[in-house]
Amino acid sequence: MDPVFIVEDLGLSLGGTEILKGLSFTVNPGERIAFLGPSGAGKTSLLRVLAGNHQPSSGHVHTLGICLSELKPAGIRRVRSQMGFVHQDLALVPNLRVLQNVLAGRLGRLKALAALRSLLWPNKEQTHRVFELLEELGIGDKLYERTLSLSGGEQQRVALARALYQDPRALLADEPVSAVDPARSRDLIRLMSKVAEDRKLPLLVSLHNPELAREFFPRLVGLRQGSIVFDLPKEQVTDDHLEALYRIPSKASFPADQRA
Amino acid sequence: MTQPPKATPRFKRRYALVLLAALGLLAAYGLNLHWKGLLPRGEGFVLWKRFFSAALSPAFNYESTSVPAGTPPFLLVVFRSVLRTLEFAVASMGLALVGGLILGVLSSHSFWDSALGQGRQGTKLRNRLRIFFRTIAALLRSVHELLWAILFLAAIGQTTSAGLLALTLPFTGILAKLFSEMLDEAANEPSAALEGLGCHPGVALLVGRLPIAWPDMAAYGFYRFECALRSSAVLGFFGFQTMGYHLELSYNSLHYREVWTLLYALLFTVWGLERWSGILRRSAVR
Repeated sequence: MDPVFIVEDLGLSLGGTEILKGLSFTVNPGERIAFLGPSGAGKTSLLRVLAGNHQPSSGHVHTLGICLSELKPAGIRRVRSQMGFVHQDLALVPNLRVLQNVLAGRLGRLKALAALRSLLWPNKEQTHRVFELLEELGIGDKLYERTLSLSGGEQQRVALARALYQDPRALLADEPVSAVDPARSRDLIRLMSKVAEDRKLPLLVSLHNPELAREFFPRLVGLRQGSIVFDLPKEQVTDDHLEALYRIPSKASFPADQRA
Repeated sequence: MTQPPKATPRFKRRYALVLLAALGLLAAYGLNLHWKGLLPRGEGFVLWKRFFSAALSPAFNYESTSVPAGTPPFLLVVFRSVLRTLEFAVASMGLALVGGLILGVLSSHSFWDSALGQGRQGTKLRNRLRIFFRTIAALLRSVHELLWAILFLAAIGQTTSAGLLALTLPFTGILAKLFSEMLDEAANEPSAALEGLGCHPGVALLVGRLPIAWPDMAAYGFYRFECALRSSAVLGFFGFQTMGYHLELSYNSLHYREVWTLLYALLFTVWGLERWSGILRRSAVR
């Protein structure tokens, strides 16, 4: 099967700052990858490039066989609609119902008016599909609750449900567990791995917790200062690798204003 | 031992406060204000006493003994004037809410930054259009509703639409300003996430941003409705049949007990509205 992502010598600059430089890797269908690295290493930006939210400044990104930099806006919209994305802050609309937040996952595929109608007056089929998804994630009973009344862990599942409702070709998550305790983090990562495996979706997650990454992801990629430091099967990632990845630079060699 | 870093003193704020206080004193001096003058004395005090003692015994019937036959009972007149006042307030607020919402969206950053795409070209034009709509809103609200009333009375005479427009225009401008700010202050992430999954920017604004700003917008809308109610009452002083009309009649005939009945009716109406909006808002938050 063709790879889902082919990244060749990817560089990204935002507002004059170089965020990513010279990244190359390939993601095959069904692969589960954790991106590790200190804050500001470029993990979020990399995921955003893969989801079609940033245009590469140099190099190439092929998504599902299409070259991102050759796409027109409509094509980019289509790519975006096929990338399920779970944001660090979840980015749910707090005072809408869970149902509507999940339905919003498919807004990218609809024209403006059809999109609004699907949210305001969802048909039975759509509502049932959302309910099934929520059931699978263990919060089916929250279908009609207002999203802000849910606990942090439940809201994460709503964000995951929205991404899955997109019927995505890949599932991307940007530090999805940074706001909950270790037990709940583990729970959510296990759930994500399971739904990705069941659907044979590639799962790309940026994480702060190396233990969690080692437990659930066969392939670990270490990022530091916008470059890949290692890209290895989890068995080959040593404590030395991790120690070097997260080491805090001394002030003399690394002025504070350069840390992105 | 190392020294702690020094805080930069906020001189500017301090100076601004001193300046404001000085301006206040200057204004009092300019107005020739004397403390003694704030309390009524002599003949003024008699009038003052008469007016406020009438507060304890509001009228339930005409104070005048020579009411022409066929005049509707006083309380019915009060009731009708309350209805009229409400009608003006509701109709003008209904129009102002629609106008304010449209003008508010059109003068917000969040609309122009998203809806027409992020392309570099056209940034200048988008900015100009936003400023254009913001200026319209500013012009509408810079004229007070009573001044608008005078303008429209002169232009189209004392018609219902003159009264309605006088209330609607400034309220549209005020609502537009507040609504656009509330939209721009709403959290960015949800609408950005929706655009990130390929959603049309206009839909992202409606689905990802408007619902977040909605409770504040509703609360402010209710407060404005209260203001509209008071202004609608005052419109009566220009001859519209709202409460102000009857207030003026009673006041000019020195029928202070009638005045108080009308004031209590206005107070009660505003209070009822406040209660109702409170209940609505609480049920919306739950």
